[in-house]
Amino acid sequence: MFKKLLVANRGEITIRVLRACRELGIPGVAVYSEADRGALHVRYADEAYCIGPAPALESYLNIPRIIEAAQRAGADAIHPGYGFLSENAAFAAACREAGITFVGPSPEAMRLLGDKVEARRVMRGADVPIAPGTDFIEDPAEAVRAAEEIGYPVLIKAAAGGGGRGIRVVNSRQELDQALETARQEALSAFGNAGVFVEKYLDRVRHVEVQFIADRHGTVVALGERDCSVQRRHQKLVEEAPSPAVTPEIRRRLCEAAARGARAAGYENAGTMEFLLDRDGNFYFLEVNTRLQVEHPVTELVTGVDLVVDQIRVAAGEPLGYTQDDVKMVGHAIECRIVAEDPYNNFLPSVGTITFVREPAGPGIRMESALFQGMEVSVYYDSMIAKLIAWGADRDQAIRRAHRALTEFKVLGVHTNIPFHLQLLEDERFRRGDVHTKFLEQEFRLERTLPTDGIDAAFIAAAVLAAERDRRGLQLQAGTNGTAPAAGWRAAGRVAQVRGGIQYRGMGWR
Amino acid sequence: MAVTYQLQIGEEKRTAEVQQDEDGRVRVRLDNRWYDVEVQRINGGEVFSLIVEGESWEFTAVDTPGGFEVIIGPHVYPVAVGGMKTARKAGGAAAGADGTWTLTAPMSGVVVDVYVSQGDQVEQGAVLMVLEAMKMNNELQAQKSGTVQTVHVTKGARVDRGAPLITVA
Repeated sequence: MFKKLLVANRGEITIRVLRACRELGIPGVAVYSEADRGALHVRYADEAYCIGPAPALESYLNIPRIIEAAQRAGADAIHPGYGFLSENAAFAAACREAGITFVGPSPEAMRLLGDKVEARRVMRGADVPIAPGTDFIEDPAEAVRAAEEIGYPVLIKAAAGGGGRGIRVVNSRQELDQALETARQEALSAFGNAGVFVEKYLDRVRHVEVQFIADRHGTVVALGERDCSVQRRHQKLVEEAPSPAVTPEIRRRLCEAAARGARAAGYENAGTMEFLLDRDGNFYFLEVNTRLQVEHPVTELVTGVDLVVDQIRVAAGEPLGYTQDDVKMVGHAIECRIVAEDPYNNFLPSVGTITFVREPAGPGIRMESALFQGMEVSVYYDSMIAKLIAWGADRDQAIRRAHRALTEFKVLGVHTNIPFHLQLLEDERFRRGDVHTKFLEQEFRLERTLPTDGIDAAFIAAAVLAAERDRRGLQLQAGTNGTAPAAGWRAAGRVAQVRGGIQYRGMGWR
Repeated sequence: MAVTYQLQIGEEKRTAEVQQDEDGRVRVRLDNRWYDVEVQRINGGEVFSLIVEGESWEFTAVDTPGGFEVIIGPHVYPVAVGGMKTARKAGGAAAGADGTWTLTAPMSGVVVDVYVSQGDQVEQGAVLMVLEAMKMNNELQAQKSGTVQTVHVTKGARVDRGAPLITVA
């Protein structure tokens, strides 16, 4: 096992990995930018080293500084978390060169799967279903032929893209030439690689992904699927396991396909194979995420596997210790990503100081966050501030627990998307599991409503506060920047609401 | 000693009177109805416990221009308070006392585009301008319907957090 492990990341995922280290008895090392000196991940770690100024390019993306910190600490392993350098093959290679184990796949596997066209080729060879499409397109005439054959609409994708970036939808022949040219230019400027390819555009599909983990002794285990169809502009907001649309038969096929693909790519450690699932139960390979995912806890809650502990163990050369037959999914888990954005103002990022925080707890609730009172939500990093994950014996209980926990979660100082999550969990279509990747954009509308029974309490509270201020100069925190004036609000909504609880719109309590 | 305030949340309005007797007992009248009220600020912090004739509520509150935001559970009740002698000013997109509303920069950034000019009619929710910050183009919306009174910035301008951008009357 490792002597010491450095986490090349910040925020909640760093604490998640450091917790695994502590359970394994491995000293954990944090790195931090100058903006993060007081951050929770620094204080949680056994050792911490500054790696540069606030901008990520100069700190959390600075490979030499991170390697230097690892050497100074005497760390023999680096966990990259997600984002930042987690899918950067050059970083994995730099670790190897420095004699440090990168907790993740080999740089070769990362390079192979990071190239969309290559990944499609490998998956096709492994008999993993892929969406109809092409290899690299060199000649525009080739794209025209392919698009006619596949049938419009088609997608033009950057070979080096990922996470929804570098994708254009083309609806007709007229749009093709221009789209191809633009896509090439965008791909070149964004990814330094002008390679593009054509793929069939699939509409009203679900995003379903399979978590897998492989050791270096030939064991590959698929840990079931997650459904991440609730997305806004390709950004996942809610993830759940299992998928409400996946039958045991589809699950078996998905898991087998993912395991075959992982073997074909020579993959070691944890990874995720993303698929699109249509209404007829057909699925198509999308891409492989060669890292730990933000949403890994939902898989952990239904399988009982500790993915981070297992990542560290297999990176150290240990056998996984369980096989596909040992994997059982029990119950249902849902994750809500809590981001510092204003849902009532076009999901605008909200920056500021957290003046108060109280996180939820109770049966079935797992919180992953690095929040604390006084924390600065800055412009430098991602807006996700916490993950709330609920487990229930079935999907309904998981939703009720998640909803209950969201009502307990108090964050002052920045706007959050908690109101969005509450309305989503109350939405009949979501409750039926009837969503697709464009659901949020095309079918869901956030309402600005307030429960009527809280209004008189709010009036009484305000009256008392006003009197206290006039009498004794009561001091309060200033409101969040960008606070909407009262005029836009309707006092409508859940009339018969149980106070502090929920009345599902049109569904009622059982 | 009694004080009276005009309160408003959205379209809902109440006249509130607050009475406190010598024993510290608090009574609040909302329009025609009196309530026995107990309020306790927990540990001098952000959290208050409110018991209204047996109904238990927990709330947090922050200052806003012209009133408070009372936060109960996940719900934010923006309460406009009329008649307060010592209303405090707070930063941010400000609802002015004259009924105007000013969009302020939620973060430092660069003005990529301005879609409105003085005299334009805008609806609540309309995108007024685009501010590039955090490597993203952020569309800033009108929080109030009305007429654009002033555009404080031009395309390409670098603005600091809190800078006034557009005032709607």
